[in-house]
Amino acid sequence: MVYDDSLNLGEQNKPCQVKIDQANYMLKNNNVFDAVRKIKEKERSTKP
Amino acid sequence: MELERYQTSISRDHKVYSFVSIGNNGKFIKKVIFSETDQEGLYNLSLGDYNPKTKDIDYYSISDNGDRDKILATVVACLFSFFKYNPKAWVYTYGSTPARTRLYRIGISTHLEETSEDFEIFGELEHGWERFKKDTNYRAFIIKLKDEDN
Repeated sequence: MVYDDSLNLGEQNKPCQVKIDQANYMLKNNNVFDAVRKIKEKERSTKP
Repeated sequence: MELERYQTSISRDHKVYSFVSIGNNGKFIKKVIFSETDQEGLYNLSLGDYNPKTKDIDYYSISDNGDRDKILATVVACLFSFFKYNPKAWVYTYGSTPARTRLYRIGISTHLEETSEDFEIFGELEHGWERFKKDTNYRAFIIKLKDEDN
């Protein structure tokens, strides 16, 4: 990989705001850090 | 086996990547952008086609360029690079269309889950999250580096 200064965030490299808004909406009341922690706790508790 | 992928350019902050897809329908400039969500440390991954005339990125385009696997392998390389510079970050991603979400699932199954012992991958179903399983239709994905408690 090579650095390209034209890729520094700006007008030509705008993230998809619709997707970010949608992601934030999908993540509302959905804390993924807690969800993953609970999955791991469950896995640990059921390990033989 | 080393998967074939495109040469990639990268921004100084390691959050924007660019490569040129070359295939049946010509050349397309692809951009992969990692942007922070409202949850601190959680980044959204977007993949789109850059139009040099309008200087816009189309996140809904279907280039159908016959190089799907090479593109997916390149996006995975971008993920490796992103995590190298942002090891604590988690990446949240979903497709802009159901077809693209399916494409991401194929990409994770083919290029990530089996090719790396470095990542943990989770899929989101209607009722919550679970560890990623092949052939399950998820609406979104979480990808993170494994940490000490694994």
